Amino acid sequence: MTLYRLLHIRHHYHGKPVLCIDDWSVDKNRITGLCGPNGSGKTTLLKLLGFIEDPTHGTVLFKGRKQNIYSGRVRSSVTFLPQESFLLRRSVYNNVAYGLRVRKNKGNEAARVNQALSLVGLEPEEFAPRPWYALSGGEARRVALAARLALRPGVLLLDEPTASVDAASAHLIKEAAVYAHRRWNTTLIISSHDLLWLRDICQDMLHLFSGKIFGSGRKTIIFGPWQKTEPGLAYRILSDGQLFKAGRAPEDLRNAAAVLDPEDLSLHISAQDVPAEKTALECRLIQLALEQQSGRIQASVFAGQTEFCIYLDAKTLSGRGFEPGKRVWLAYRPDRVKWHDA
Amino acid sequence: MDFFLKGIVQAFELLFSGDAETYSAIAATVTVSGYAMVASLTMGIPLGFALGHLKFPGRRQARLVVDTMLSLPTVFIGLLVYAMLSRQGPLGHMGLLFTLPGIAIGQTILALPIVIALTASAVEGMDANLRTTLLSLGAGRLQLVTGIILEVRHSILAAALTAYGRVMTEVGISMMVGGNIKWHTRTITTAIALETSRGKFATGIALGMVLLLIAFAVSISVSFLRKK
Amino acid sequence: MKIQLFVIKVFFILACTLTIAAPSLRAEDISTLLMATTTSTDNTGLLDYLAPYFTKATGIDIRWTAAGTGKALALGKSCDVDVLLVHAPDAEKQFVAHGYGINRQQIMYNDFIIIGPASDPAGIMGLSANMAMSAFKNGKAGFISRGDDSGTHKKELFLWQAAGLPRPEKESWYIQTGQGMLPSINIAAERSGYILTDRGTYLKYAHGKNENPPLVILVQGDESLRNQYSIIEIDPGKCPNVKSDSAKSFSQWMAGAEAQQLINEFTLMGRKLFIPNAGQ
Repeated sequence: MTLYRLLHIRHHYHGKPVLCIDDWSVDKNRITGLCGPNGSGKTTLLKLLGFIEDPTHGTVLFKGRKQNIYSGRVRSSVTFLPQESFLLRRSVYNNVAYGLRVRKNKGNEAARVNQALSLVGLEPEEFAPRPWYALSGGEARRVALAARLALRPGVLLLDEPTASVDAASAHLIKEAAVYAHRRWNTTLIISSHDLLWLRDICQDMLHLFSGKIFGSGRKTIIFGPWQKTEPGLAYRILSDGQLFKAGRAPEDLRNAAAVLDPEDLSLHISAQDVPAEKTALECRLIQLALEQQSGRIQASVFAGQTEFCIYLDAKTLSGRGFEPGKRVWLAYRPDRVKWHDA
Repeated sequence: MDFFLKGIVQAFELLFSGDAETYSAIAATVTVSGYAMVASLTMGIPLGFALGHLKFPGRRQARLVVDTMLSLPTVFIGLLVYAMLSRQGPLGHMGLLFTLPGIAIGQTILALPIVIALTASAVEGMDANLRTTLLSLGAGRLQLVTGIILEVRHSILAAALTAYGRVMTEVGISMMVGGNIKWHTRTITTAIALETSRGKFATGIALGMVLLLIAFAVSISVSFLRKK
Repeated sequence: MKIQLFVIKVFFILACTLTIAAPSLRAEDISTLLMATTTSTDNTGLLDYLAPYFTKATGIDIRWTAAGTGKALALGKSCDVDVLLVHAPDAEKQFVAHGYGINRQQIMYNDFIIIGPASDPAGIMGLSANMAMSAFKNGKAGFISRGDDSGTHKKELFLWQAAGLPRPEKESWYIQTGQGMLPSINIAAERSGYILTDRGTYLKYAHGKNENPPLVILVQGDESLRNQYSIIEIDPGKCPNVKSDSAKSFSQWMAGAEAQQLINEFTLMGRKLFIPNAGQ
């Protein structure tokens, strides 16, 4: 069942376009990951989904109906955790209880507050009476998440929930988010730089770049800086010194990103196996994961810091002896690289 | 300079002997500034919130007007209110001239820009994530307003204290609109002006000390509010 | 801090304020008579002395606001008071002639005096008022003027005119203070200048200086220095809201035997200050 549908969205800040989506929908009870570089419009998209802002143009349909910021239908089921965790100037307990009180949900307030705090790994007896200022960054983020979890929300929008917090907090936040999905069927929409985590838990992925969607599913995106050698051919020096070449390069490469479909990629044990029409990069196979929906196996290979995503079927995998940690050759066709520019 | 010491001694004499004239002036001061504060806070906080939070055309101009009004001289307000409340004036039929509510109207005009400007600054200076947080926790329109106001409560308290200081110590409005009528509209400040013109400097100092004591009591109550 | 506690505290403080303020919240009594008067009658305490007798005799509560004669007359013109007790005969006659007031009645007088430094650099000691004013114009010493349109100021302007002199508006020796009588005397003392004052204020001033003031009386007793106080009722034809009955009662009572006797008996620092002259 479609939960959100965004139609003809054009959102501007001070006249500058920041988000441009023609048609996109999110199904109920799913986990959707948003990825893209800084400034790609992830936070803006989450704010529109959270009905924190109205789009400059276009419609956000929630459960098939147009809603506005103050509509009770939205406010009672959608909750958003902003990137900078902001706490009200009250005790931890009152911060977590605020949403329940606003909803006039007073019956089992204390129990729900304590449960939410426990979920994010904060001992209720110790933390509930603390004032807002006596918390570390990671603890504050977890209190902010607890305040959302206490509401048992229908939709939980998380904006970089694990950015700039300690490893222990990040782990607890991830667990709590997944718990909400399992326990209350909460629809999760998460933006994060932690691609491994997103790939691990998300059923859908949305790639944003310069305010535009350029594909859902698992694509490899290579950002600049690009250099041009001859017209139509650009290259990017990867962090291990190898060159990634791409044809059909646009004139203006300043904001351009190259997109590779997993179908255009292949993985080979030695350089000799690479087909003649393809170019190869020497990579290391980092991760193999089963995609539960399709039964395919997804492989992550890295050339330096750049990650490539590719699908393998089970037969190829066992036949050729791909194992994580192994050196492999990633073959691609420079002339099939797609470009995305702002 | 001996009248200064005499004044301090006399201040305590006036207070502890229960001097009726002094207590009448204290009551007038407290009443009138109380009215003015209740009125200016009930109007000023929502207006300040609107000015600081809402984006509407003419907002910058409105801000400029409020900031200018911070410098309204009290005698000028006194004159304006007198012109309004005089029996010949547009509100003359209400019979508010030479009454405490009349003075309170003038003092409200004095305090209102202070409350509006400081509330607006406090609301403006508030983290943009506060609105996001309140909304995402389910706050409706009204809860959003009260939530933001409660977040800036300490700044609003400071605004109220500043406004109260100005209201309690002004002479121009009380003199012009109140007429310094003994037992009725004589406030502490107009009494000081009168005692000074009578040459009773020590009594003037004493009344000034009494005013300071009231200010001290108010500050104590506010610090009691501020306690975490 | 708990929000509820904060709100409770706010209400607690509000309640305390209202408890203190409550006694003065009583409704304004409409049977009160409102008078505008000059600072001299208020500052000397004459009105505080007379008011209880008046209220006892008539049952009317009287309140007054003290201002310079100029402002008192302005309050009368704008119908904001019911009755005036002022001391500027020319301005009063004009006020009545323009139809703002009725039944102008003289009540009492005291006198103005010219005071100055004991060394008397202008040499006016014992002169008539006219000659004294002429002596100032050579500018040997400063002359301090109230410059505030008060009765005293009006009297001073009258004296320049009576002496056949132009009003010394811009002379360097002529200092206009724009302040009340006592502050002006203090300025005169600081500048060792001369000043015209009513006797009552001077007595208070001298008393404040332990009867050894730097400024002494140099000219007094001249007929032109008489300071006449009168009562004017505001014309109910012009101002329908005024309490003309109460105003009339006050005017009649002040001119009556009881009040005249009381005024005669009123003293300040042991000295008689006002001479009743109603009906003369």
